[in-house]
Order: sequence, then structure tokens, then C-alpha cells
Amino acid sequence: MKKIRIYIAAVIVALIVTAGGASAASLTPAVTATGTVADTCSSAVGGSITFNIDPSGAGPITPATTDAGNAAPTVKCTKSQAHAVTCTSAHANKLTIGNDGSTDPIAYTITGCPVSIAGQGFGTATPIDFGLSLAAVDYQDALAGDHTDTITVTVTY
Amino acid sequence: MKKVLFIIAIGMVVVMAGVAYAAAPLDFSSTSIVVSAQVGPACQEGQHGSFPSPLTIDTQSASDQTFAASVDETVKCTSGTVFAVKVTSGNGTAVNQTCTTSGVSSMALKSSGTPADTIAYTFACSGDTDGLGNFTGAGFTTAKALGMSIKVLAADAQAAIAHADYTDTVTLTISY
Repeated sequence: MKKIRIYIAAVIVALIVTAGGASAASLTPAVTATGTVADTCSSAVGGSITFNIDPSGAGPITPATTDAGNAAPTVKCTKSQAHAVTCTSAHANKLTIGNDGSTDPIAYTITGCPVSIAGQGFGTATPIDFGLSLAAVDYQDALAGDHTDTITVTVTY
Repeated sequence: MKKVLFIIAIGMVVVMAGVAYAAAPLDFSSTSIVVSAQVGPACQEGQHGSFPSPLTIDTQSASDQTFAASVDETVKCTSGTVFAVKVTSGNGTAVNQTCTTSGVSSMALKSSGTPADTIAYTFACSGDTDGLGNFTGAGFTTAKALGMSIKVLAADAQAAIAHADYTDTVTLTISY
């Protein structure tokens, strides 16, 4: 009986020593650091399209943001992420005198507005190029003067 | 130590959940682009005019004789654009005179065989908007007729010498 008791005690001591030894040497717990890059966009900047209409012309007029003197709107988005784009006229795709939506409207269509763009990171603005198309029948009887519309470009993320 | 690790783990879960929420596809960034178009005033000839050839002038008539164009001259201009028609006579002394309903004088028909023989006439444009020679464009789908006519006064007709070769070249200049 005595031998048996000693054996059990030794086992208990050994367990305590083992645990105490590990604590005294070094403890290097692993802490996982996880970073998540948000899929986002910001810093949208407006552009401009300015062009002349010769009402005596017979063909379509097709100005674009890529034409000399014009500027594409730009946006900065998370790199390589696709973001949906829409281009919407303020006045139902009509250029009007005074941008009032009603005075001497000239109908047009928006062409080439991208369905989506891929972000290039926040160090590089991504241009959103598109164009317009005006049919001769829509501008041949237009009044002389400035005709304006505002197109809102929206990037969803 | 286990408690500390546990707390960190809870914290990570909260942060990641927050990121996932922010990236939900409901946000957008938008900007405006201004489109400006300048419609310029422009004009072009719609139809080339002409007069009967030859005009038969009655030297015995006691009345002034007016001859309408056989084909009227028409002009297309930007809608609303005011334009004037300037008349120059090849054989008369009229140079860039504004064509009105009352007409431009100092026009002359000249005999090509006998250049010294001339007949004075007046060139009129009755299609003007205000009687002062101002026309208003109606766009490029609607041509504006000038309403051209030639008038020979009775006195000038009666004094004319008979020839069959009286001519003049009238130059019309559209100013807008």
C-alpha cells in the first residue's frame, strides 16, 4: 500500500513541475492581426463637355469627354474592384437654353457610359469617359445661343 | 492568459463585422458633368432664284411693270437669327444695298450689243419681316423666301430703246 501511494504522489509532482517549467521559460502567444481593405470610392470630380452646333449641318454631332478641351469626370476607388456606373441627365436628355429643361430643347443620347469601372486605388483617379450624340433633325431648327444640361455620374460600391 | 486571448478574439470579430457592414453595396459616389453646346448662327441658300428670260417690257404701257421671280430665292438660317439681303447690280450702281419691300434702286439692265442703252429698274424683296430688310431665320428645315421682284417704272419703259439683249447680274449677299 505504501508503494502505491508514493507512486501517485510522484505523478502529481511531475505534472506540477512540467507546467511550472513552461511558464518560467518563455511565453509567446500568437496574436493574429487581420486587416480588411474596404471596397469603397471617394473623391469624385466633375468634368465638362463643351461643343459647337452648326444647325446647317446634316449629320450627327458626337462630342465626347475625350475631345480636346473637354474633361471626363473622375473617381478614386479601391484597386481592382469593379463598381457600377450610371450616367443620368438632369433634363431627360435635353440641352436647353438656361439649363431650365424647357427652353428650346435639343434632344441627345448619352453614348459609351461604362457599365462599371475598375478602381485603380486612391492614388490614381479613374476617368469615366462617355459621349453624346445629337441627330441633325434635333438641332437643325434650334435657336442660336447656349444650350446646357447637367449629367450626374454615379458610382455604386 | 486564456482570458486575454479570448477578449482579443471577441474584438476581432466585432471589427470584421463592422468592415463587412461598411462595404454593403448601398453606398455611392456621384459627381456632375456640365454639357454646354453653342448653337451658332448660320445661313445657307435653300433654293436658287431666277427670273423669266427674257422679261418682256412693254414700252407702250402707262403703268409701272412688275415682274415676279419665276423661281424665288430662299434662304435657310438658324431659327431666330435675323439676317439681311444685300443687293449689288452688275450693270447699275447699287452696291450692297439692303433689299426691302420698297426695293433697291440704281439697278440697270444693259444691252450687251449696245452698252450705252440701259433700262433702270428696282429690285425688291417682299419677304422681309419688318419692311426694313430684316428677315428672320426659321431653322434649317424651313426655307425663308425672299419674295424677289423687279419693277420697271412706266417712264423708264417708255424711254427704252428696243433691244433683245438687256441683261443684268444681281448678286445677293446674306448678312447675319
